[in-house]
Formats: sequence, C-alpha cells, structure tokens
Amino acid sequence: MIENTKINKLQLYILTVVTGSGSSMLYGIGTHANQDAWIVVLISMLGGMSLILLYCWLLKLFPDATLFHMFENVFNKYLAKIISFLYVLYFAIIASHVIGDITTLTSLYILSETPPIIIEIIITLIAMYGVFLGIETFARFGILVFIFIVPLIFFFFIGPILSNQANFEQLLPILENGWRPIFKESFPLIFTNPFGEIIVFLMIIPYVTNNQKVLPVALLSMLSIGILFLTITVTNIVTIGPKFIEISLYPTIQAIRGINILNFIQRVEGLAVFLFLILNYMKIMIFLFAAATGANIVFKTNNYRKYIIPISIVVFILSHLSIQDVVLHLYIDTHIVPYAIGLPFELGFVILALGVYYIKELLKIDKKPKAVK
Amino acid sequence: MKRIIILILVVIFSLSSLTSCWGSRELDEMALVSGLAIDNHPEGYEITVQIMLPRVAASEQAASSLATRNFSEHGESVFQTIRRLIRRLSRKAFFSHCQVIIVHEDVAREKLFEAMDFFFRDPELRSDAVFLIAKDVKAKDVLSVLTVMDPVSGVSINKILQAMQKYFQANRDMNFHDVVADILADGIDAAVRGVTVKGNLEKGKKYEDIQESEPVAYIVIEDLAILKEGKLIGWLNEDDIKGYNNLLGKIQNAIITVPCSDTNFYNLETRKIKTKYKVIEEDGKVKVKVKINVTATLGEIGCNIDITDDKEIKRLQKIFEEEFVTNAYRTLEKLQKEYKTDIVGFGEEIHRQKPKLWKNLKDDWNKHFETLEVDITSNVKIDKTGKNTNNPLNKYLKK
Amino acid sequence: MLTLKTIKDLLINNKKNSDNNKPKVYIKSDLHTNIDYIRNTLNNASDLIVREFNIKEYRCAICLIDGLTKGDYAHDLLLKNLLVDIWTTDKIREIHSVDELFDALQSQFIALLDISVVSDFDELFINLLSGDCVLLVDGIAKSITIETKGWIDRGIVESSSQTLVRGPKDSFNESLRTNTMLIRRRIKDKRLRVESRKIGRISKTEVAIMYMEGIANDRIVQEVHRRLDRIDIDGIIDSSYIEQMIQDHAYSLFPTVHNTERPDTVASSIMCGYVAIVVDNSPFVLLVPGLFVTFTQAAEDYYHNFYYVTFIRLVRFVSLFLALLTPGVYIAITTFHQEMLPTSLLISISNQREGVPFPVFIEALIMELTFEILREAGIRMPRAIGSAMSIVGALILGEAAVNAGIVSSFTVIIVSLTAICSLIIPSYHISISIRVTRFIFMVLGATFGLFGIISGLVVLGLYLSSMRSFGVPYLFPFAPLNFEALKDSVIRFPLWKVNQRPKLISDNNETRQSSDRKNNYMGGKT
Repeated sequence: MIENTKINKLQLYILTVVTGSGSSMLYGIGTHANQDAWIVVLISMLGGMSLILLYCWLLKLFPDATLFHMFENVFNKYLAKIISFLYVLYFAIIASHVIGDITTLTSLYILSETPPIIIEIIITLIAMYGVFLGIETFARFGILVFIFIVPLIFFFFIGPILSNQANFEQLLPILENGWRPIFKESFPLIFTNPFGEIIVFLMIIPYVTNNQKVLPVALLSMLSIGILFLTITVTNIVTIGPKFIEISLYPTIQAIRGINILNFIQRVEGLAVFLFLILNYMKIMIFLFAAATGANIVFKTNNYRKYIIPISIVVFILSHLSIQDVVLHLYIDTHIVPYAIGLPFELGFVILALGVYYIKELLKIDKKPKAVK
Repeated sequence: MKRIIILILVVIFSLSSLTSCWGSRELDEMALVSGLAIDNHPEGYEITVQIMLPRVAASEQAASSLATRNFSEHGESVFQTIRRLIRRLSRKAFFSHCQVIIVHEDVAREKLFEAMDFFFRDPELRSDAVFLIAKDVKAKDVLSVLTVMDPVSGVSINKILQAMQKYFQANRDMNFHDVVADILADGIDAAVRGVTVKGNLEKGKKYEDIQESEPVAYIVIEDLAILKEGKLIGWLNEDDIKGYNNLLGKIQNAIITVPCSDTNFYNLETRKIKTKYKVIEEDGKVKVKVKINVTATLGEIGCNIDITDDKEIKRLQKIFEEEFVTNAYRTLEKLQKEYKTDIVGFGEEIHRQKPKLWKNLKDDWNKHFETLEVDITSNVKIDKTGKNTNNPLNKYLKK
Repeated sequence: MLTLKTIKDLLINNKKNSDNNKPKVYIKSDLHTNIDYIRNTLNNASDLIVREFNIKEYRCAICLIDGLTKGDYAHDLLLKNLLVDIWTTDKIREIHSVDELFDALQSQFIALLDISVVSDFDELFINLLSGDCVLLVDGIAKSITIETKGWIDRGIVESSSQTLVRGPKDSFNESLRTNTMLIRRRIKDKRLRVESRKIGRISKTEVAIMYMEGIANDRIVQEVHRRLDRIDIDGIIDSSYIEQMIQDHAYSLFPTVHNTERPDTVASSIMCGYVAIVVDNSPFVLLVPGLFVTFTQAAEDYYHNFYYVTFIRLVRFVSLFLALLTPGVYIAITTFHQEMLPTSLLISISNQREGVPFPVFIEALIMELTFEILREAGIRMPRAIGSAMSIVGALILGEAAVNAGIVSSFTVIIVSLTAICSLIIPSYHISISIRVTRFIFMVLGATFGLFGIISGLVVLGLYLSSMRSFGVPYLFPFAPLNFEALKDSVIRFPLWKVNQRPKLISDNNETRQSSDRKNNYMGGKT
C-alpha cells in the first residue's frame, strides 16, 4: 500500500516549513493584540511545540503508520472509518481555503480583470498534476522552492528596514492592554492555525526514511516557522503600524509595497505575491495528497491516484464558494474555523486517540488475570 | 486515456489564448496619469488628471512641445467623475504612476476623506504619490504650470518634495498613507504641506511663454496645513515650520540662521538632530521634557568671531540653542493656543512611555494638549567648521 | 589487456543478428566456387579485390575490400609474407599436403597480429566487410581471416563544436578504435571495462560501453546493457540514434543523455562513475546518466581557477533563466503589470511603442522567429560568409525594423539579450530545449501575465523533478540535496576539497581522495 518512494529528513523539514507558513503569512497572526502580536506568535510557538510532542508520542506508539492506521488500531473499525473520512474532508477544506486565499490575492493585486474562476482552475490543475507525480517529485520540487525562494523571502522582510520605512518605536508600548488580549488571541490559535496544520504530516511519515527519529526534525521545523512568523509580524508592525494592520486585508503585502531601496528596487509587491503563490502551491499539493492517500486508506484500495480527480473537484467547488463573499469568508476564518474545524481535528481527536489507547492498555492489564483463570 | 487528458488540456489553453486574455492592457491603450488635482465644484468635485505624453516626455532633447496635458471633469462623486474622464481621453486612466495628488484647501476643509476614499481603497494608486494641499490657487492650476527641469510637472513636484525632505526641512506626512496613519493614531494629527503658484499664472500655462531664461510662474511649496480629525483647520507659516521641525527632530542637513548684527548672520548646517522626549508625572499631571540635541557644522560666519577660542564656540553654541528653543516654544504656543491640535506627536510619546496615564488622556487628547506643560531645552554641538576656521576677512567684520 | 580479437569474438556472439533465421552457408573446399560465391553475393562490387596466387603448388586466394584495409598490411606485409618470406623458413619444405599447409599458415607463416579461422560465409562476410583479408586455400573448407582493418579517417583534430582556451585539444573522430584509444590513454586502470556489441540490422555498427568496474553503479550498467539489447533498428548512423532509443522520457524536450566530443570529459566522467557509450562512425560519445547539472558544465571548468569558475557557472545559470524567461516576462510586464516598472522606464517603453502596430506579444514573436531563422541560416552558410552574414543580418535587420516602425527597439534588445544568453550554455541540446520552451513561456506571459509565467515555472519545476535518467533523479545535486555533490555543481570548490564521488551515480566507492591534502592517495577507500 505504501509505495516504494522515500523522502529524506531534509525534504520533510522543507515540506513542513513550507506548509506551516503557507497562507497565514499573508494575514499575520494576532492582529487584535496590536503591537503585542509578536508575543502572540511566541506563545503560539510554545503551543506548536506541544502539539509536535503530542504527535511524536503517537508516532512512537505506532511507528511507520499513518494517522488513519493509528485510528484503526485504537478505535473500533467503524468509528475509525468515520473519523478518518472526516479527516479527509478536513484536508480538503483546508486545501480549498488556501486556493481561495491565493485566488483572492492574485485577483486583487495582479490580474484584476480575469474572472477568479480561471485562476482557480489553473491552480487546481497544477496542484493535481503535482500530486499525480507523487510525493517524491513534489518533495524534490520543494527543495528547489526552498533554495530559490527563502532568501528572497528574507529580503522582502528586511527590505522595509533597509528603505527606512521601519519605525521600531511602533512596537511600544509593550503590553499596553495587559495580557488579556494576548491570551484572547492565542487561544484557540495556539493549537490550530498555523501550527496545527502540521497534523497533515502524520499522513506522510511512512514515506520518510528512518522515521523513528523525526522528533528533532519536527521541532526544528516548528522553530523555523515560528521565526518566520515572528519576522513577518514584527516587520508588519514596524512598517505600517498596528492600526493599519487592522484595516488592511493583506498587511504583509502592504508592508512590502513600501520597499524602495536606492530608488531602484521598488514596486516589488508583485514579486512577493508570486512568492506566496509558489509557497501555497506546495501547501495545496500536500493537503491534496493527504486527502487522496487518506481516501485510499479509508476505502481500502491500492492506488491513491484514483481519488485525486474527485477530491480536486470537491476542493475546487468549495474554494469557489469561499471566494464569493470576502467578508463572510473573513468571519468564518476567524470565528468559526478555529473552533469547529481546527480544535477537534488538530487537537481533539489526537488526545482522544491517546486517551482511548491508554485506557485500553489499562483494561488489558486488568483483563489478563481473569483470562488465566 | 493519457491522450484524452492531453487533448483536453490543449483545448483549454488554446481557448484561453483565443479569448485575448482579460486583463491585458496594451501600453497604447493606457493614459498614464502623473498628477491628480481635486477641486471644489458646485456639483460636487472637479477632478483634473495630468496625462503624460510619452513621446515628448521620453525624448532627451529639450522638449519641443508639451509633455503633459490636463483634463478636467466634474461630478457628484469621485469615482463617477473619474469614469467620466473617459469621455475626454481616448484611453482609460492608469493611476499606478501618479506622482502627486493635490487637493484644494476648501475640499480639505470639508470633505477630505470622502474625496480620498476611492484613491485610498483602489490598489492601483501607490504610496509613492506625494500629497499636497493647494492654497490661494485652484489645485488644477498648480498642475497646469509648466516646469522646465522636468517635462512632466507631476514628477517635478514629487522631486522637489523629496529633495526638500533630504536637504531642507522635514515633512512628516508626504503621502496619503502617512496622513491616514496619523489620523488613525490617537496621539497625533496629520500635517500636510501646502503648494501654491507664484508669478504670472496665466502666462505660466502657455508653452511659448516659458521660453524665457527666467521662469514666468513657478510652483512653490510653502506652509504647513494642520488637519484636525481629518479636516483642514489652519496653516503654519514658514517661521513656525522651523520650530515644528525642531520639535520633530527628524531633519538632517537643515540650515539655521541667526543674525549676529543688523545685516549679517551666522549659519549652521545641522548634520544630526535628535529630539528626545521624556514624559514625567508630576502631581498627577503629565509633563513632557523635550531635549533637542544637535550636531552641526558651521556653515557661514558673517561677523567677527574667533572660533578657535573655546569660549567663543561655546557662546556661539549657546546662541543657537536659544534660537532652537525660542522657535520651538513659539510653534508650540501656536499649536496649543490657536489650533489646539497636536501634530508633533506628544500624545504618541505619552502613549509609549506611560501607557497607563495615556488611557485617561486619549479620548480627548487635543483638549488635554491645550494645557500640556512642556519644558524645552537644547544642546548644540558644533564640531566641524568646513575647510577654514575663521573668516579670512575677520578683522574687517563687525562684532 | 583486451585485444581487438576479443572484441571480434564478442561481436560474433551478438544475439540480435537477424540472419539467425537463415540457414548457415558453409565454405566449400573448391576455391573457385568460393570465389564465385563471394563475387556473386557482392554482385561484382568494384572495390572487391581477389588475388589468386600459388604457394608451392597449392592454389590460394586473398579477398579484400579496397579502402577498408590498411595499405601496407595487405599489400606489403601479407603478400610479402606469403610469397616471399615463407621461403626463408624451413617449414615450407616439409609441407606435403594441403592440410599441413593450412595448419602452417595458421600457426607459423602469417606474420600479422590477429588471425582467426572461420567456416561459414556469414562470418566471412562480416569480417570481409569490416576490412579484414580473407585467405582461401583450394581444398580446405575453411578460411583464415586476417586482421588488416585500417582506413583513412579524419585524424585527431581539434573539436569544432566544443572549443576551449586551456586543456587538451584532441577530440574524438569517427573511428571506434581511435576513440577507445583516446579514453584508454587517460585511464590506465585494469578495472576499465570495454564491452561491445553490434547494433543495427543493416549497418551492424559497433558500439562499445566503457565504465569503471567497482565505481560505476552496477544497476546503471545493467540498465544500459538492457536498453542497448532492446534496440532493433535498421541502421545506426550517429550516436544520436542510440541516444534517442535509450533515453528515458522519450517525449520530453529535455535531454537525459549527455554527449561530448572531448576525451577528457569522458575520462573524468568515467572516473566519477558514469558510463560512456562509444559508437563507431560518430565522434560524439554518449555519457549516461545525464543530469541537469552536467548539461550546464563545461570541461574547462576544472582547468581554471575555482573562484573564476564559480562566478562563470553562476553566470551560466542566471543566463539559463534569462534565456528562458526574458521575452515572456517582458511581454507579461508591459501588458499586464505596468505598475511594476519605475516611471521613467515606463515612459521610455511607452514612447517606443507609440506607432508600433502590433501588440507586444506579436512583436516579440516576430523578432524571435526572425532570430531563429537567421541562426539556422547562419549554420548552413559557408564558413567564410556565415558569421558575417548573421551579425550583419541581425543588427541591420533589427535596426531597419525599428526605423520602419515595425518593432520597438526595446524588443530588439530583449530578443538579442535572450539569444546571447542561450549561446552561453555549453550543451547544445539543452539550449535548443530552452529555445523551444521560451516560446511556450511567451504564450503564457501573453495570456495570463506573470501569473501564467509563475504557473509555467511551477509546472516546469514539477516536471523536471519527476524526471529520472537511468534511475538517478534528474535534478540530482539539488533535488535530493547532497552537499558533497553540490560542491561541484553550480559552484566549484577547489579540487582538494571535493572528496567524494556523486553519491547516486557511484554507489559503491565514494571516496575519491583522502581528505588530507598533504597525503594525497588516488582512489579507494582510505
């Protein structure tokens, strides 16, 4: 069932970082905490680390198994199947969110007159192609992306500082409104977006060579994502100020707009949009892949490629629906998604699985003496 | 199976190429706007755009004809008016390269944000565009003055402002995004530079009349407009601007002049100004201590002074310190008493340094600003004197 | 040491000989029957020489194809041997029967290097048509084949397509043995394997595989054997036929088999673990597996200072991207994304475009096609006027077109920049791939702007990532990231720092030098 393809730890690291950063880089985190948003990021990092520890715990119990296999081992057959199927839907929903975000971004800044549906079709088609080619291929592509794009990303974040747009005083006063807004922002974000989406990697772990030792890689990637987010958040606050962040749809792009080095390197936000576009392609491909592989396991067939087309169609329709109304989409993103989708799937079921496993272990110990009798 | 997929893909791509791609704009279908002017009009607004004619604007020889043309339209709302402009242009206006936005003071007094919301919302207009308020003349007249240095006057105005920022006097809010940022912030209000035309306006619009060696009409950037809660309430003149700059503490390379006798001056070129604010709480009231630290080069000596003498240098420094402090107080008084608006940013400083105090003050900051106690001191250090030390004609100069 | 005789023996074992189905025709004892049969089969070919002579009283004949045999071997040495020199031996007086004569001829009388005995006409013809002399004796139903291959060839001259400033200047020519000789002179290790076969039903071209046993990956070698065995074609005219028949991704624009005219490249590749395929009648030797980085490297890179080489390699890489993307990006920005240009540049471009009747895409397309036409025409032209014509054509045509208002000068600059960039790439095959892909990007840029180009890049990236050449991922040092191999890809570390052979190509034996520069051993695990 698991194909003979392997990806190594470096590729895993890159895939993780790329997925985690994906679409949240555009919006920034913790915007309601104003200039303390970076503290929110730090706290989320802690939450992310604890999530990683949780997942790796699961991995130690069930080495070389995907998330769905773990469920099968822990719960009874039918419950596991239902939960797994829900997870397939979850991956599809996340993928459609990302496609929707990127389409809106492209529509707004780059191709204003093209109907967004065309952009969506192209993105979906290309993501499908990538998933068809297999995880090894897009893991290799991920390395290419990493090599060429990460330096560019750091340039975009340092650029505003170089162009004298940065005013570090805007970070003050720290903790102006105390800890409460920070905590309000952190929960449920701590456990969900963006760090929680790492759960998709539990689907990919079996493909990694030497997957007993993924913990250091996972922690390192969490740290990298955290640093990336910290940089973005600080740059946003310092460049355009917390008040502006509240009224902009895409604060990061606004911050990049201000880059003007030597009066020559200017107007670079188009490039920034494309960078994010490519990063998000990777994210979409990973989630599509997870959904297809998951469906493959749920329906107990041999070839995950069969499911790519139906899942892509579902994803496409969902994303098209989500871009119809920007305001509603924003509301759903901030209020409904973290609670209804994020928490249960990224945290809830995992804890449940662990709990049930240990209860079963305890019961077995109790049962043994009885069987002897 | 594979062939069918490839066939479908090929068909999709060919079709999309056939539709001549939605968003494509050929360069000769676009009217590049280099300047925008908003005036008052009985119907609502009168909007003038300055369109660049590339053939002339790009040529390297002296312009043989006009590089830009202005087109005006009026209407009830801004968006509607812009669209109406298509009636006059054969192309759609393209704002990405707009260099300057000029709003007439009457519009600024009443409905600035209603007018600007369209431009602020549309992603086409960039923050490179410089924002000015026209006084004494109509905004469209400012755009219609022909400049010789740059064939496109919008570019010229933009460059003037950039140069002023670098070498002359700081401007806090140069583009509209900064204005909005300041208005959104509780502790500070926006201040925008004014622009006007001096000289013979009518002549200055005609091409033939600018062929003389001296410009007939020229654009002047002077005065500072004070915007309280997004509406223009008054102007600061050039003297007041000196004090404003000292309080802001952001300019480099400014020239400060102090008279040393009836006819001559000492000139100082400041290389670094840093104004430090310290907020202290005294008897439950807030007090701000302002210290203006200046490092400067002596630019010009007009009177008899021996600057190799340490005492003389100290005396000179003291003279300049007093100059700074006097200017600053004068401007502060005007801001507090006459306009009751904080455009320098005292509120923001209190916000940053004493957030708890700020909570009580922020709701009605301008009222509290009226009675704010400010203590201004200055410290000038002259460490360079150019190539010479004393004026060669020292002994002939008056004391 | 492999002799040419062993090669011949291996050749005869070739399974894919389609004459397998026909019954074997054996040599008869009667001399004239044999000679007539040979003449008739070749239909009295005018370059067939049959010389009859007598040794003592026994009739003999030599057949050979004029032109394929080395002059002095057949004419001077062989006949001299048989007619004159044997009389100086004692053995000749002791011969009293034909069989004794035949044995003596085999073992003692012929003073040439490589002889063998054949008994059926198929082998006889293979040998005869390869250039050997065939000696027939009346009364014996066998013939002796004498190795006299030799012909006039081009000699070893400087390569015309891959020139360099510093380094060896000899290059391969069309003769297989010369080529194998050039490689052997550089690798004197006993583990160098030379294995050959004949491919092509009609052409029966000799093809030799050369690799280092123990260094090259066994799987790759086996795969090469397997693919060559699979080839069933009338004739192999040039090594590119073999290249096209054995490459992975037959429908892809990008090459997966490298070729070169230079023996130093082949030798150093073999030492790294690559497998070389030498084809008779072709001066281009194939190197397998062919990865993306190998196409961007030139042999000279190892002979110059490493700082300079790193710089030049980076320039090459950048030029690769420029050659691919420049027209597309230019079209995209001026059509969709004018806000990305600084104002003064936009005014310049705008100025030039006033009065040009075509949209940017059509303009760029016209100029690109014109350049392609000029370039192809330049290749066909006689050398004397070739280069002059293309330069003149390009510049003046461009200038005239601008003045006539058909295109704008900016487009001309963009197109010439692209053309120059595509010439910097050492491998011709990749540069033609890039030329074609460039047009695809132009179309993408014209329809969807930069979004289309980025999507095209993503698709290209995915496609390249999915390609494998003989099992090795195409983007090897980048895609499965391998820091040791990276030291010699886009950049070049000094020679003494590159310690290991590229991992996926040489699985077995990785260390190629000890890490201590002072004690420098060659090869082997230390």
